[in-house]
Amino acid sequence: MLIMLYQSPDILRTLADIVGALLGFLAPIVTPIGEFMVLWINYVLLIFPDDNLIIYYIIGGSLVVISVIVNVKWPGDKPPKSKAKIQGESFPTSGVETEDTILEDYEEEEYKEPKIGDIDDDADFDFDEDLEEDN
Amino acid sequence: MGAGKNLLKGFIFMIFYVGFTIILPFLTFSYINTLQIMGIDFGLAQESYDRIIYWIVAFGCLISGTAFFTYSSPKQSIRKGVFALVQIILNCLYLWSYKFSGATDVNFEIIGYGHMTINLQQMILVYMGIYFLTIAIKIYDLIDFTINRDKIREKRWSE
Repeated sequence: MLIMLYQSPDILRTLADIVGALLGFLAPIVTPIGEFMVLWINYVLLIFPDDNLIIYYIIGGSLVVISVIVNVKWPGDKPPKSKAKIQGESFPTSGVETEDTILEDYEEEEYKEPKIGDIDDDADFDFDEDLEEDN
Repeated sequence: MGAGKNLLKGFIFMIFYVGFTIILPFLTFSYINTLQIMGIDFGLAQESYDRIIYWIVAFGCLISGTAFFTYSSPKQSIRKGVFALVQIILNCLYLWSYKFSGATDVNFEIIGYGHMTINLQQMILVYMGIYFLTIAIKIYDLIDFTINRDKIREKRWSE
């Protein structure tokens, strides 16, 4: 059906008219830019060898191989800085407080027997006040 | 997304680009080279045909390799931005190589009658202008990916 539609000369003529109108509308804006593009492209194309396809095969193949290596090494799942702090993946863990490190620090502290002189006067005062309130 | 998925995506797009930049134009020009209409042979001059095929294969290889790199890179990564830009520039060269190789100014030899020329240069110029705008967008993307790197990572991580 589609092939029959395209075989009709009217359809082809209409399509050609539409494409022509689009090109005609865009041409004054886009053609000068296109000419600028052509200018630098002509210079760049001088670099490319025009008698040896093997170079292009090697470059294409190298791109694929390098891409595989890069993707295996850096697949893009590195966490952002904020998440990395929590997980401790990319930042040093020595400076970060986690449950384990807090517990270790607590255990390392020497236990000291409290002495009578160490208790603040304010603490005694608070205790007396509480007694008075209860009475 | 892991490396395996990235590579699979890159591979699929590379196949797509090999098809559209090498195989399809190769078959089209080979078909044109052996075209017969109403018993009359339309043949591209052999030298012209060889040059067109050479540039199609040459830039097709480069574009396909770059496409693999671009599409296997993580979403919105800087390397994706860089290689998308390189790919667009190579596309421009590929398109212009049609002109360079003579494919925009095709000489048909109607055996026994004479020559016919199809000039597509104006159409290519319009395409080039559109490609310029695409290059501008890709440069903007690259700057965006670089500046907002941390935000993009956080967004990617939360998905």
